Amino acid sequence: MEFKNEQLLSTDIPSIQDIQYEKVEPAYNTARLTGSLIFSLILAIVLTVLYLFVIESNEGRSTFLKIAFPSYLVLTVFLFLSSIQNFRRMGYAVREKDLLFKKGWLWSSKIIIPYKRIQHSEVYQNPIERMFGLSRLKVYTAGGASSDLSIPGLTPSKAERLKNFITLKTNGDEEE
Amino acid sequence: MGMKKNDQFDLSIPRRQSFFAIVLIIYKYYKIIIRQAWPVLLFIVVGGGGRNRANWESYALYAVIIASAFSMTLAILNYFRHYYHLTEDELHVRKGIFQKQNVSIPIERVQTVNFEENIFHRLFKVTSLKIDTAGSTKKEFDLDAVSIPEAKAIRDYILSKKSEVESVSTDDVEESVNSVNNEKLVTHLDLIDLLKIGVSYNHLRSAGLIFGGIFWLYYEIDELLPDYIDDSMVVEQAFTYGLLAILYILLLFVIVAFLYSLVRAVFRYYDLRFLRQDDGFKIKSGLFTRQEFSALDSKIQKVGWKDNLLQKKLFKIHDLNLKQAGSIAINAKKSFEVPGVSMEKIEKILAYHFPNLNLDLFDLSGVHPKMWYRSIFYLSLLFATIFTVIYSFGNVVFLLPTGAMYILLGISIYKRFQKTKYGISQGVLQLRGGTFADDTTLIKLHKIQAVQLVQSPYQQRHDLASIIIFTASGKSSIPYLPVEEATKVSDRLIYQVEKSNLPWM
Repeated sequence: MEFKNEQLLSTDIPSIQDIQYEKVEPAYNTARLTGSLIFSLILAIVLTVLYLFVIESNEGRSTFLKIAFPSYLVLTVFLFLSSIQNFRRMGYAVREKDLLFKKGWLWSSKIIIPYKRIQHSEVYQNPIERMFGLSRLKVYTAGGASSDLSIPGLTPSKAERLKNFITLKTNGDEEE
Repeated sequence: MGMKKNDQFDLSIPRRQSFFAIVLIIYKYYKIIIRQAWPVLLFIVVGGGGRNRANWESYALYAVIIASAFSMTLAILNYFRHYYHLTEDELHVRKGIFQKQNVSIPIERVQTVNFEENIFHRLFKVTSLKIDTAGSTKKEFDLDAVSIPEAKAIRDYILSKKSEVESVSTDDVEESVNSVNNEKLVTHLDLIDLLKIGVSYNHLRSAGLIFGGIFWLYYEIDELLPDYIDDSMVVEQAFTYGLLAILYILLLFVIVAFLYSLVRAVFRYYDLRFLRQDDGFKIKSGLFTRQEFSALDSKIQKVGWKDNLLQKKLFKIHDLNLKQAGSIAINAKKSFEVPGVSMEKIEKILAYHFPNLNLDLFDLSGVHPKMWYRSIFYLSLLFATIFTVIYSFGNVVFLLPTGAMYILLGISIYKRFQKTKYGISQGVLQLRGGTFADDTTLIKLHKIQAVQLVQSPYQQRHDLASIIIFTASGKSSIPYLPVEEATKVSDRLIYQVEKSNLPWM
């Protein structure tokens, strides 16, 4: 292997610091909130069934109420809050040579995947996303499940276009 | 070139394995049966007890006889039904007793060809052949027993075909074909090295565990003693005897653990030879079961070495680790560890995989001290709880060992912070870690798959971030950097990946 070590000034290297992230579709926020709503409704039903039919003694019921009700409230508020906050912080960027995706409110992350390391990509919809006419783009690398990327909240046509673009980029680099 | 290259074997004609394969297949089936049915076998040996004992035993005996007969028949049928041959660019297998299978594997998909020999193989002078293919978990072309010259002919043929496919220019072909057999001994382990491995194996951890267990047991027993026994005398006696017993047991344990790890080292690593071929390493080792492990340069994603306190202080030896991309890309992480190698030997090995790499040129930087402040905070929180619990409910005697534990863990957290370092130079990322001993990892930058910046709530408040570096053999991280530095480092890593035209595999 040939040994090269040209000097670089750090300003020459493109930085991820000054990137404009694109937002995902606002409908995705509604989809996420709907998901949270469905979850909290199911939880409410489960808790009600527990309260009415499973717990027998009155004492047990009042203790259950004291613990379960506040926890439920806190959990639901947290769920909706995190859903909104997560949406606000979510964004992707398509650069010439890589794909970026950032997300997360309390625990945040920002991942950069060069096109030439992408194994394959696919467009996917879960049931709630289908209801809202949204798609997500999944991108796979050889770096294991946690390095795989999933950009939600795209219109199906945009997801498809993005996928084709990535495929083009991935194959293009191989031919070089 | 092609078939005629192997004068002894015409590999293009469908053939069976060595006749000894029958024995090895039977042996293989037996191992499976014993693994599956050991409760039944144990039942027979120990005896079921009760009135129906005789009945049970005879049933079980029948079962064993039937299973044996069955496996023997299967083995023989399998042997006679199993044909294989090689063509210009494919491996062909025809096998199956009830369902016939015809499998062809393109040679270009073959990742590695490994030989493995157990004691039967060595007795019959044959070897098993294991072929690892990309994108498949199934062992489609594994042979249980072929004669050693034939196995070598098969391997050389596959490798020559593979290098033909991989090297684009035709000039290289002749050279790579010839160099298939060109093995160079890089380094090896002798008996003294094995002795060192046995001695420096991490006994301390196991000894500590056992010691802790005995300590706990002693107090449990003490509390169970009936009240009418005169506490002071019994406790005093028990304590003296107990202490002696603990010392003896500890001594015994250390001796047993030492012998065990020595025997284990000899079995596994006897006559370990670290060989270099033109495009990768080959490692052969083992006393009875001779294992051969291949690591192609293209498949190696990470190289690392680490030591424990004993290895570091006593012998200055390390465990060298070669991590390869899994054959199924993601799940199967393949790695090989060579224990007991000196830095001198490691440098010899590195010289092949990282030509011209100068480890002295790395300018290593540390991470932010908030890394250990934070861990100490959580540790103190945990131990404050434990202390409170012990003080209010438990035996005060526990306070001392718990305090010692707290201090030890605290020191190890600080040590870990001190040792965590990273540096980028000459197209390689170097990561340092370890607690009391050292741990070094080298990653060629073009083997990186993706880079991630993560922040916990605490890190967000203090403008810190951790970098996670993904490779095809797992992830590594640089924790707790100031956001600005973390961004710069990831920019640089990604830039290097994108600039390089070298493939990651």
